[in-house]
Amino acid sequence: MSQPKHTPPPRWASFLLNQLLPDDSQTPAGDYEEYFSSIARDHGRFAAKRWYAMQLLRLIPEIILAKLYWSFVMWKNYLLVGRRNLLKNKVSSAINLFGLSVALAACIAVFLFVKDFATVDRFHENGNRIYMVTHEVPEAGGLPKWGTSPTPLGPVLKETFPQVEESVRIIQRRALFEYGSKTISESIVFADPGFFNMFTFPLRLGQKSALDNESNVIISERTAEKYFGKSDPLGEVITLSFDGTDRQAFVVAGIAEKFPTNSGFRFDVMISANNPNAMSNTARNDWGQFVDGTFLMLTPGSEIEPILEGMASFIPVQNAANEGWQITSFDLENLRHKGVTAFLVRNRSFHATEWPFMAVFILIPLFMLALSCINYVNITLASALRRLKEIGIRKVVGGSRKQLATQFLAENIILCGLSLLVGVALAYTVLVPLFNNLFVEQIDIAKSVDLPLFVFLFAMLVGVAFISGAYPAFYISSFEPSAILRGQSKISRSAWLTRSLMTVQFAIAFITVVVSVYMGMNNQHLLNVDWGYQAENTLVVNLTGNDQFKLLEGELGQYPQIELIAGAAHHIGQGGSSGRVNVDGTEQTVRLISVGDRYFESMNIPTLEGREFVPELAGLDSTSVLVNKVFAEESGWEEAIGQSFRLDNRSVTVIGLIDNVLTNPVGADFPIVYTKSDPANYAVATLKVPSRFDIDIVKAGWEKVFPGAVLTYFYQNEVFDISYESLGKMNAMFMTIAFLSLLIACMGLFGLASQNAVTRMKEMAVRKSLGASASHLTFELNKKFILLLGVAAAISSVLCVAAINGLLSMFDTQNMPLGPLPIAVAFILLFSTAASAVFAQSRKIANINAAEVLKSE
Amino acid sequence: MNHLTRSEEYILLAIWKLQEEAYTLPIQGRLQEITGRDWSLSSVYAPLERLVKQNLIKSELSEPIPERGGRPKRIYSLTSGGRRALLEINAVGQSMWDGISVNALERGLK
Repeated sequence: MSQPKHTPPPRWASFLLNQLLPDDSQTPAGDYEEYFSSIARDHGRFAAKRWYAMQLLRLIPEIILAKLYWSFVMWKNYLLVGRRNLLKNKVSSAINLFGLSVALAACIAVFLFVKDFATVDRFHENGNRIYMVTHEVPEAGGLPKWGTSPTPLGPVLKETFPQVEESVRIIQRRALFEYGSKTISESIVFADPGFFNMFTFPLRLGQKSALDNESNVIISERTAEKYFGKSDPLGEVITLSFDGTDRQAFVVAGIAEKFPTNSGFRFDVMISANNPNAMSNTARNDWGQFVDGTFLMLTPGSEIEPILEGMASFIPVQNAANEGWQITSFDLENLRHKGVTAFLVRNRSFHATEWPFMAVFILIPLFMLALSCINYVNITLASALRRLKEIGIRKVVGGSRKQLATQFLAENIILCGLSLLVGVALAYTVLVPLFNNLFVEQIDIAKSVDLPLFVFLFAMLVGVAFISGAYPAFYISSFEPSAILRGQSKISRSAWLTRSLMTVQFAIAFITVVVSVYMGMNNQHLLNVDWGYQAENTLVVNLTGNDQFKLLEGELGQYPQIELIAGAAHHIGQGGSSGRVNVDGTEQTVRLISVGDRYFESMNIPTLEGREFVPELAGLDSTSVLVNKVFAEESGWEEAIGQSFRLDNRSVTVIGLIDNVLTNPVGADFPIVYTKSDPANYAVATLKVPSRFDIDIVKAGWEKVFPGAVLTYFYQNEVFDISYESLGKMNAMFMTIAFLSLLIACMGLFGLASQNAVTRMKEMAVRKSLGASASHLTFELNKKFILLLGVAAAISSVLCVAAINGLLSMFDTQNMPLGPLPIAVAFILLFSTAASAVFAQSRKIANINAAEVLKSE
Repeated sequence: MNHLTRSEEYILLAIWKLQEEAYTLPIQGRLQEITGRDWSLSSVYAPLERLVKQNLIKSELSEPIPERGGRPKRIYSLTSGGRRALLEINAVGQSMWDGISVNALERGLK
């Protein structure tokens, strides 16, 4: 019989078949090849190929089903064994579960916030073609960008460039909002009528065109609720008084929907910028006047370069109009893509994310996650020694390395899944409300559930399961079964890894403890900083309008209990403005605080030399200033009184030297120039009162002068309470983090110690029977841990001192340097908690019955 | 007795008939030839597997063969159980046909 010519099937097909078919299906593969050959002989190669391809296609669904079926069966088994194992080792499972859930909860909560911060203003539909105008003005320390812009710039650009579809300016002022019996000071935003066409702030009630009428007002949902409650406010008439006198009636013509949590801009009350209260008619064309923001919306697809060039041509006009404010360049910042450094732009009307702060915020939960993953790795590696027999048997009966690794990964995934569930619950019930309380940014729990969150949760599950589970799984599955079963448990315990991971863990815990102890002590230190004056006897009353001070003074001035009533446009402890001074050719930026007559006397702040502003000499004081001691020292004056210098391009003369006082709870002394303020601009009235003063007198007087208006006041010694409170909150947050990381690290140590104790039971029994004492046994068992802790503490204390003192030296602040005390406290805390973590195990070992242990097996 | 399907019965018969050459392809070829119907390879594999499970046939591998891409053939042969099953089927068939005239069937008479 002649051998027929053999035609092999195409290589791709054979390859595919080999991939799809398991190894034991060699025969069918051979059959197919032979059949192929015979078809090729009888009907040609093409027919044979077609047949082969058809067969392959029909094979695929079968194979997928089979694969799914078997992997399902295997996973069912993995999960079953995994569940049994987790339940068997309750202590280590609980440690892992706790650590991972806390860390994951922190990650989830931070993710919710970061998601908002990272997508600030992304929701504006036209965001890609909306730009904010910025400009740069050189100053001593650099070239800062400003978010404000000259008043005429926006309208001029819109007229000149056809590609500028819309220009909107924003001006922010305060005014008294009056409706019914309520009179409250509100922040008012004036915006050009195109505002609602440019930005995506939908109105719940009313029309976008409401801003076309300059006597209309659009209010936020919050404001609507505040004044009108549940009733429909559309068409209601309200009164706003600017500077106390310019009263104007407005019609409520729109209610904005609740702002998205990731909105960088919010308003309570909005009025058309065409309203005369936004700016005077002369200011509208004055390049020397500034608005709080100018926004341009370009036509789709247009480039920004021509606009930038166009803006540059206005620099000379602007600089000629405002000699004290020399702009070097204009720039545009996209609303959606603000850039990482956008938060550095000063006086921005649209908030930008502060990334350095965010970085710290993101790092903390990642650290905690790292701590928990380390626990998992360490405990799993230690417990693997107890599961050696199981591993050996599994391998001997044919379990492949892959299956064993999958078994360990499955256990890990069960744990991670459970932790994720607990973590989500913790995040939503504890952490998000806590953060909402700490930050201005509020997360709406109901709205936070979206696709990115689920993607994040899934990624967390997979990521954490892989990071914590991969190494133990692949390491353990590499054990040689013969070595295990022969009883040669000379398996390397990968001790170096466990030890270095533990060192890292304790170093992190140590650092957080040092930082939080330091912060606590520093807060105490800041509370005790000498303010430089007696603050208890000054009552500060907030004013809102320009006639208020005179009226109030007229009334309260008659009361004998009030020793003195003065006022100021700014107030010590509540900021001020900044100004540029030129002393003998040296330029610098200083803080400007604008105060009224006899302000310092009312505040009990001593005037060291010269005099303060007094009403008797009001005529002389228009070019007079007072300076603080720092300013006089920095200017190198021996005698401050009578010195002249330039302040924002006018010449001023020093008439008084004021002692340094604390103007900022954390800031150090800096140069201050006190200028004279007109009573019309007073924002506060300062009342010098005796120690035992009845506040009802002021309340009654206020009610008499301003019936119905709300009186807000505080004693000057409470001026920093808000800052202290936020410092306290920060401190509390760090304490919590320190506590949690210490807890997680110590739980890890506890888990490791208990595993260690079990594996060294025999050794300890032998030592005991040979006469070792309980204390010696305890030391012998834990000396490894003591050494690790010592190394961790040494490394991290060096790091802490270097980092904190380095950071402090960068800023000029009142903060105290990091001394040895916080480190000592951290040492004691760390070693005592670590000792209590291993104590129970050590006691158990020290008290073992040596005979019992050695008899077993 | 074992109730075998028709295809299982045919395959057993084909294996017996083919003897040394009883592997998948000739079996399938013979089934196609005699029944005149198209038998796909998989319609042969499935009953073969069932018959192996029921211990009616057994198989062994041949030497590797170049025209099969260097893979061996799986040659099937009847076990004693397989032979008995065929005999039983034959006996049952014979009894069922007993007294039935093929001639009369063709002409449609009782």
